[in-house]
Amino acid sequence: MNRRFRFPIYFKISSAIFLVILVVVSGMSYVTLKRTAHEYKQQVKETGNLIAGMIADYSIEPVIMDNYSSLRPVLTDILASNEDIVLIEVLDDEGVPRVDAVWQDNDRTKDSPDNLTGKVVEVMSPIIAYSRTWGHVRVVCSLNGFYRAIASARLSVIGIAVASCGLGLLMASLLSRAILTPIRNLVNHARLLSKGDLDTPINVQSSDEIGFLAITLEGMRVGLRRFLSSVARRAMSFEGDLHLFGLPAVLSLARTGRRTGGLVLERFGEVGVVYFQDGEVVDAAFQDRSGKNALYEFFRWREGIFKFSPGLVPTRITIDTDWPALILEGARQVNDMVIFKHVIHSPGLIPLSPRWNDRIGDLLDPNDTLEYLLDNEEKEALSYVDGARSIREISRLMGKDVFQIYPHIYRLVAVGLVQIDEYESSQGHGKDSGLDEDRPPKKAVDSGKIIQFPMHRVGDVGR
Amino acid sequence: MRMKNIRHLKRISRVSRICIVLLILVSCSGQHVTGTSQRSLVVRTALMEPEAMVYARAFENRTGIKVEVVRQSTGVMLSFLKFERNNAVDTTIDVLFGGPADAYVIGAREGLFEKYISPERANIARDHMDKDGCWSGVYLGSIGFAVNPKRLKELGLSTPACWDDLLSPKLRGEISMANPVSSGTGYTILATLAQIMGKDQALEYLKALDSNTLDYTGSGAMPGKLVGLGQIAVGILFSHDVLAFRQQGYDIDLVFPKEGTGFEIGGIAIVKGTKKLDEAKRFVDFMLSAEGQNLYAAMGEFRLPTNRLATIPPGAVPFSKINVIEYDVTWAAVHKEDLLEEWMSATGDAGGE
Repeated sequence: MNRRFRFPIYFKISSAIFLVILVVVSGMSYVTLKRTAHEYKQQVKETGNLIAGMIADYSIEPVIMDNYSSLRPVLTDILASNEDIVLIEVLDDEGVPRVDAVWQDNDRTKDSPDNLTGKVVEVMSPIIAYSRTWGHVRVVCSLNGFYRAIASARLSVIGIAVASCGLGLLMASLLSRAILTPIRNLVNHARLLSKGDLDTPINVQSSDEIGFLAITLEGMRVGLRRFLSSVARRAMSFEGDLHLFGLPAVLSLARTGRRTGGLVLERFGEVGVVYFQDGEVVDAAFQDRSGKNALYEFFRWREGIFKFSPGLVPTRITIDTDWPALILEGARQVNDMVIFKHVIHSPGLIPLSPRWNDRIGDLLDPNDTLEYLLDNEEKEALSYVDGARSIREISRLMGKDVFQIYPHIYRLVAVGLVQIDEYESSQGHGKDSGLDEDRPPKKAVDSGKIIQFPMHRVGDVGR
Repeated sequence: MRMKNIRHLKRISRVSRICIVLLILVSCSGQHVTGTSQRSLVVRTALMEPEAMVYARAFENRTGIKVEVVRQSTGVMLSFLKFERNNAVDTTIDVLFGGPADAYVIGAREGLFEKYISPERANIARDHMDKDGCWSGVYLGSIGFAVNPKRLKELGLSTPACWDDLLSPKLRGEISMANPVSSGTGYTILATLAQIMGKDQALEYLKALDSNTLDYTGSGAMPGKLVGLGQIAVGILFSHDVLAFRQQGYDIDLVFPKEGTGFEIGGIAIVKGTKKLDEAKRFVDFMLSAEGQNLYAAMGEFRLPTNRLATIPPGAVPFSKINVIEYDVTWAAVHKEDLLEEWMSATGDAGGE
């Protein structure tokens, strides 16, 4: 996968902060250096003025008397004692230098006055005596030392800036790594959670927000695990109301899950049990009856509640009939329109194959047991089930009243050959919708007609 | 207007001096010795720098020995030599040139000078040199008053004729003289008055004179220039300096006090420990010679030469024409320290450069 590298957000933020600090510090350093430069120049100028003034005072007589040579040793001494001074000149009243320019290190070729522009501070002090200006003292102070110091300071600032950048990037990297590592751990844990691994504890040791997030995720993991355990437990021991689901659906659910246990049924204080072994009905008991007699009795119940308990392990086998035959026979024991309406509560509903795309005619294998179990009317009704015809249409094709084919459809549904989808029409369950032909069919959600049998809602029972 | 005239005169004076210097250089150029230009000599002089430079350049052309001239007051020069000796520093000075001889007497007593009996001493009066050869006199000069007639007229005063005339209250702030502490000229005035009036009376006089004194200068000739510029009415200094300023165009007159006046013997000496002894001897020889002292006249100075063969500058005032006291240089030297202390005490002037 061609993934483009991206800097982590914390790295970017840290780098930005360091850059801001760098810019601020550099700016402040620049302003400070500039101010220092100004102050330094002022100080040099003041010092130059002071020295020039002293020399001017001392120069009065030599200048008046043209004894300039007596000044040279003095100027040389002053020059030797102050390395910032590069030139001292004593000029006469016409501005002509009368004492040769005295240069630091006697090096006149190294820096000519023209080359010193911008690198020196020049001051002039008048030689005044007896109400007259006799000449001037010119003192030129070098700023080379200052510029060297400034250059050194700049170099230091740049060095510090570069070091700060490096240190900042390193710290940003370490910081982002310190932050990202637990985040990556959390992401990995979240991925494991998404894959269904609820057993790996989320163990991120951190006392900050990341730690709080980890604790929250761990709480979520524990909660999910508890919830799924609950769901699983409920899946293992489902319970509900026969009024809502009907016994064929409940039995089918237990068989589909290949459960082992006892389906406890209760009505008006009377309790019965249907025992399952790996999804097969092996025993039933109600009052003093057992086996099929007990089982068929349950098919005739209009209402009641049920609960599947895995703990009720079958201890005997009183029923060894195959499932289709057993269920079909049980369904044939029912002749109660109220029970039929639990499953088929509108003649406008469309029966269809449990496998939606299969032609219903292909469902029955000639060798299948059902081929032999179904009677002719049931087979005829089944032959008209094509996923498009409603129960009413099927009854017309069979030339019978719609109520007459309700038992056939019910039996087909009980053995699982036909499915009536009424997923969204459960509000009509248990109510006498009236089997009036003129009454319009219930509004279906899917295609307006197809309503699923609510088998898969068993898991929601008791929720 | 007056200042403008002074500047004009000053410029003329400079031009004429430069012409004289050039003449001297040209006349000496034939004797220039090549190959010795590396040799140099440090000369500290109490003479005015332009004048001393002329002698130095003439000597350079005569001998090929390069001379570096630094002008300083006599007292400062002597103090500097003492400083070098007391601090065991190799001397940076080879020759002391000019300034009153009392300083040279003190220097000789303190062993600051090399003894050198120059062959030119044969033409110099015995009183004008140290018998041991520590120093020799190169010129003579008497103390006089420089007066500015215009300034005096403004003050309503006539030309002062004696020392006591300088005590007139009208001359308050109108007199200047060199500081006796730092200047040989100043001390010559002090010693002269002490020898004329007696020490105590001289100090009383100087104390009174102090009230009229505007400034004690470092340079002995400086009062003359201030008079010439009209800054003050009277200056006390050597007469040859007064005449030099007058020649330069300043409005200045020379007056000698009728009670008498002192004088200086301008000295020259070789500093002990010099590493340029031969060159120093040659410079001493040159300045003691008639050739060297003839430069006074040649460049319009008014110093009296000590070499009897040298020409007396035209316009210079020989001692024979004025009331010159028997100035005792040795006495002046011996009592210098005490006199200076008492003078400072009397005038309240710390003095000195």
